[in-house]
Amino acid sequence: MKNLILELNLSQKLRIINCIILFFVFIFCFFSHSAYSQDISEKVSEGNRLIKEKKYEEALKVLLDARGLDVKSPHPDTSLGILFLMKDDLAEAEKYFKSAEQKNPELVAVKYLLALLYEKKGDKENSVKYWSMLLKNTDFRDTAKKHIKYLEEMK
Amino acid sequence: MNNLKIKNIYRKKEIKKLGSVLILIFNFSFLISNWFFSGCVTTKPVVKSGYNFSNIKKVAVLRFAGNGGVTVSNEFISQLLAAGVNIIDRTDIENISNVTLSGIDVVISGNVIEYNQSNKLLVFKDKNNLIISDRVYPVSGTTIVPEGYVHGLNDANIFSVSASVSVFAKIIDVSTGEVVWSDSKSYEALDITTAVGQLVSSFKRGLKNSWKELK
Repeated sequence: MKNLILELNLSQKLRIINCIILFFVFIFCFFSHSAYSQDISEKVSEGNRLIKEKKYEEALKVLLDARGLDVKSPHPDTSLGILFLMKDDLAEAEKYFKSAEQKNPELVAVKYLLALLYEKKGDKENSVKYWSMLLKNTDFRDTAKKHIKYLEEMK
Repeated sequence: MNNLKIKNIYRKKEIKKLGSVLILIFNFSFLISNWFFSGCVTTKPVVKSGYNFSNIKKVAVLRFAGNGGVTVSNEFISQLLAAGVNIIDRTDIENISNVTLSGIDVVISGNVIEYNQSNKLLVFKDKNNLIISDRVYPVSGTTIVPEGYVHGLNDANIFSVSASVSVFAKIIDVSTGEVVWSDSKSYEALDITTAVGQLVSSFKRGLKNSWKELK
């Protein structure tokens, strides 16, 4: 082994060192990312548990921390929306659900929550807007039709 | 040998006939069930033709039968009162036979078909994935049944996010004992109180078509 290393020229040695460095960089990135994802999931779960225990102030702190860990994840925002729904603070709930929607516009669950929230707020225009978006989804089509009909009757 | 062949041909024909009959029965039952279930969602109020709702001066609201009956009755009382109707609160009884009828023109009663405080569940799944579920749904080895006792709601990542209510209501004319109006509706909202409020409001709007004096 020692002889083999001595036999290699400088450029070959540098190539090997480069490969080793790249390998460790890859390993570091991979594990730090998965640890990071796990961390945010754990934080959201902890926040959700605290919401269920009605420890709203503690939940708020944990979920805001989670929000800071990954600004692209819609989960902390959705949990924060739920938290404010539980506190019957519809304006704050709306703010966080809208933020979750911006982060992932494909989330049907958030659109459903926003449709119901606007309906409770008496904001017919926005409620109809969200129910109309849900018409495209086969699971929600009938419910959405019914709610739109109800809201239109109110006009 | 020939007889055997003929028998086989007949048997095949019979099987084909039976198959087509079964397909017909299946299609027919599918159509009927489809019609029935869609009918449950979009019912229209039924009104006794020629009945003069303008003569109604005093209404007794009875307790609606079923889980959540008192809540539904109280919502009827609030909304009809707000609509300018004279109300007698008889939420202590469910049946018209037990009502003291003096001075009452009509009685509103009915039954709560569904009173579900956990209609839909929000499930935090993997990273970036959220699900709304209204059916049995396996989540990390747990089965969620969103009716009555909700299995899985102990899981921190499962929330009940909507409630639903379904009600049948009727108006009975006290002088004749006849049902003069009936309707059934179902609705879902963020919570059961909102669902009941919106449902009764929808009943009232439907009733306004016949009872013009309602505000």
